[in-house]
This record gives sequence, C-alpha cells and structure tokens, in this order.
Amino acid sequence: MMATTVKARSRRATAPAVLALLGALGCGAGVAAESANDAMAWLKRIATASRQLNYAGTFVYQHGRQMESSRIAHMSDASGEYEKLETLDGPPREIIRNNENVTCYVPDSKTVIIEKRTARQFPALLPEQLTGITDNYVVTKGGQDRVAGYDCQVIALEPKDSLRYGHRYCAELGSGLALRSRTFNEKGSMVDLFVFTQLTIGSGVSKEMLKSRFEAASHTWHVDHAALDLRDAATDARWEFKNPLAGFRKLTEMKRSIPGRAAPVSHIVYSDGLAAVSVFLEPLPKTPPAAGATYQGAVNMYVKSSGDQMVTVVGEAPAGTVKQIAESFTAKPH
Amino acid sequence: MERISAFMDGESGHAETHQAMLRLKQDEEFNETWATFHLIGDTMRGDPLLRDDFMARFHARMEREPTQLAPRVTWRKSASFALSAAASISAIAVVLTLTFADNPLRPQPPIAAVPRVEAPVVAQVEQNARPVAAVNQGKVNEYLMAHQEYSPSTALQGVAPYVRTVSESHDGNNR
Repeated sequence: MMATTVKARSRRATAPAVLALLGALGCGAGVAAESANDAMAWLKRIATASRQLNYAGTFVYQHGRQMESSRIAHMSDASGEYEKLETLDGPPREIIRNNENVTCYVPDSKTVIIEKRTARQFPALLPEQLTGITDNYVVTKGGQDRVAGYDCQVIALEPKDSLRYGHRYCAELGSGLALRSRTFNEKGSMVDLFVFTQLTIGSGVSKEMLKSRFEAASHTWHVDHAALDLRDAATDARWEFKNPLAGFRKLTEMKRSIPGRAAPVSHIVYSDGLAAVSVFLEPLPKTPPAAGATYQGAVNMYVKSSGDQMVTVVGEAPAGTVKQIAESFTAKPH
Repeated sequence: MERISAFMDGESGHAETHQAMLRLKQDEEFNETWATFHLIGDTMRGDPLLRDDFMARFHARMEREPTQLAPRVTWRKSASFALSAAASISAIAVVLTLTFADNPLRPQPPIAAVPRVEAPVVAQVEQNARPVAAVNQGKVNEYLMAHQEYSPSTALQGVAPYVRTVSESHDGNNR
C-alpha cells in the first residue's frame, strides 16, 4: 500500500514519502519488539499463576478424536503446593501432588505409583528456559477470547523449524492462569487441547478438595515406588551419542527406577525451553516392549534396541524429532 | 435438551429420532438448541468453524482441493469384488461341467467351497505411530509419568498435563 502511494506521487514528494515509510517501518519494529516482550511477560505470568493461585475446575483434554474430562484443584500456601487431578470419564484415576511427591491411584488395578521430584525445583520456567523459548519460537500476543466464562489473552508460540510443535495459550486476564492450551503440528492441525469448561479462581478451594478418595483403600494395594531412589548421576560410559538436535539442551540427568525394571534406568532430559524430551537408557528387559513409534496427542514416544540395551524417548515434540533423538544414541559393544 | 443430546450422539431410538427430525423442521427453539449444541461441540474440539467467513473459506478450499473421484479403499474393495466374482464364475463353470458330464459319481456342487480369491492386500506397513493408549491397554505409562515432571508444559499448566499419563482409550483401543 505504501509502495503504490510512493509511485502515485510526484517525484518531489518521493523523498518525504520514503522517509515516512522508513519511519513507519522503524516504528513497526519497535511495536513488534514491545509485543514480543509483552508476550514473554505473559508466558512468565502463566507459569507463576499455575503455581501460586488457588483454583478448582473441570477441564477437557482432547487428543485425536478422543475427549475426556477431568477435575482439578490446586492450592498454594506457606507449606507449599498441593494439587489433585481426577479423571471423570472411564475408569477412575487420581493424581495427587504434594510438593515434590506425586502419587497416582489406579483403583482398577489396585495400584499406587509414587514419584518423587529431584531437589531441583521443577516445574518452573527458569531464566535459561526463557532464552531457549525465544531462540526456538516466535512468541506473539494474539487477540482476546473467552473461555469458561473468563476473558483471556491469546499467546502464540510459532516454532522456527519443524523440530517442534506450535503452542497457543489463552491466559485469564486478571490472574494469568492458562484457561486453554493447544498444540499444533507443522501442518497447523491441532494435536492436543486442554480447556477449562468450568473454573473457580481464588476463594472456594479447600484442603478437602485435594485429598484422594482412595487413600484409605489403597493401603492394601500394590505400591510402585517409581523414583524413590532417584539420584543425580552421569550416564553409563557404554553409551555413545551424537549431539542431539538443534535448540535442545540437556536440562538434567539422573538414575531412577522404573516399575517392572530390574536395573536402574538412566534418565536424561533435553529441552528447547518449552518442549521437553526424555531419554531413558537401560539394559534390554526380558520381555521388551514393542519397538517403534507411539503417540498420544502431542506426546510422541520411540523405542529402539541397541545391542543388549534399550532406548526409550518420550516428549512433546513431533515424531521425527523424538525418533532422531533416539537414533542419536548407540550402545558400544562390550 | 437431553433428547437433543441423545439424538446428536445417535443414541436415540427410532421413534425418538423421527420425532426429533419433525421438531427440527418445525420448532424454532429446538432448532436453536440443536445449533448451540453443535457450536459447543465444535468449540470444545477447538474447530475454528465459528468464524463468520467459514463458508467463504470452505468454498475457496474446495476449489483448491484436487478432485478425488473415489477414495483408494473403495477401489480396493471393488477390485476384490471383481476378483471374487471371477472366481465364482469359474467355480460355476466347474460345477456346470461336472453336472453335464455323464459321471455317476459326480460330486455335489461345491457352492459353499467356492474358492475365495481376495484381492492381494496392499502391504500397508505404515511407519506411522500407534496411539500410546492402544499399546499400554489403559495402564499408566511409567516413562511418560517420569517425563512429565521435567516438562515445561507442567510449569505452565500445573498437574493437568499428567492426565496424558493415565489417559484411557474408550473405544476399543483400535481406532
């Protein structure tokens, strides 16, 4: 539009018009930078809100053609963070998080799975992760929308390459809580969705809402102490790996136990700031799981064997990315 | 309301469906509720169909789409049909030959034993990933659970993404 204006004008008017055009471009760049900063500030708000706010509600998780609803409650006080998640469709399942302890109740199989976080305070959006985000995604502030009766601000993260998915959040205007989170593949199709359908923020959340209804019954259930002997440790020297993919940096590395596995498993986490990919290295179990790719919504998984060892890669990244990371690991022959 | 919902989900009986169809034609309020329910469904699925220019975009996209006369599955089906038809004809020919041949020991026409010649199944060794739920048969995926704690998506959404670790496949695990 600017160009046609310039052309249409007399030669004498061209110089001022070009100056005006340059001015407009400069101004545009300034606005873009401001918008990006603003969008990053929103992202930080979203991360803080999910940890510090008290809220309770019902959300829908959709992946592929499947949809399920769950109830969630979160409370934060001087003693820490408490969360409860229970599925409302299909067989009942509950996940309780009390600070660093995550307990998963599966009444169907009478199983309790206990997970423990490392000392490092996850989850949090760390400063180095924020740099990772701007290196790998274009973060923009979109329009406003309304979700579960609340007005919200759309924040979009477009990946700079095909190694990662795109994300769109809609954050509640007042608190910054993510009311909707969508993940898109490189074709722009949605791969999964979390959206609140009903929500209370602030008052009305009590400790009662955060207790498991299976806690008493579960004393006689089978308990899987998934990661109680978790410890920071370097990966076995028997593994060789090429540098993983662009933009993915090692976040942490540890040894952990996985239910049903005799030997401890090496667990390495890579992240590009937003998406994380976990690599699990272990001796090939007696009954190895099916090799190859599986997925669930935005999470892709890839299993391969290498000599007498096995690599399992899990992450919220495209199948190709997860596979490439798996292929970069090779067990050295004895 | 409940009847509309049942109708939408294809769970209403024959008489109820008929009644709902009649009401859809005549009752404006019923019609509106019907439309609203579909809107809710679309919104929950995140389908961006709600924008005003949907029809315009739809037509534009239709123009761009290559014309596909029949999906591949249909082609394979008809090929398989044609081959079994051919097999049937040859079987009938065999039967006829046996019937007309002057053979006291002629066997009964092997109608039930008509050889089933199937179209060669195109090897569909797909490298595509299978759904995790189908592989885990509804069990908690421990690797996914161990991973979740370190995922920045957990930082942004709290415990909600954990639902992936216990997600169930409701429709027979074989979509």
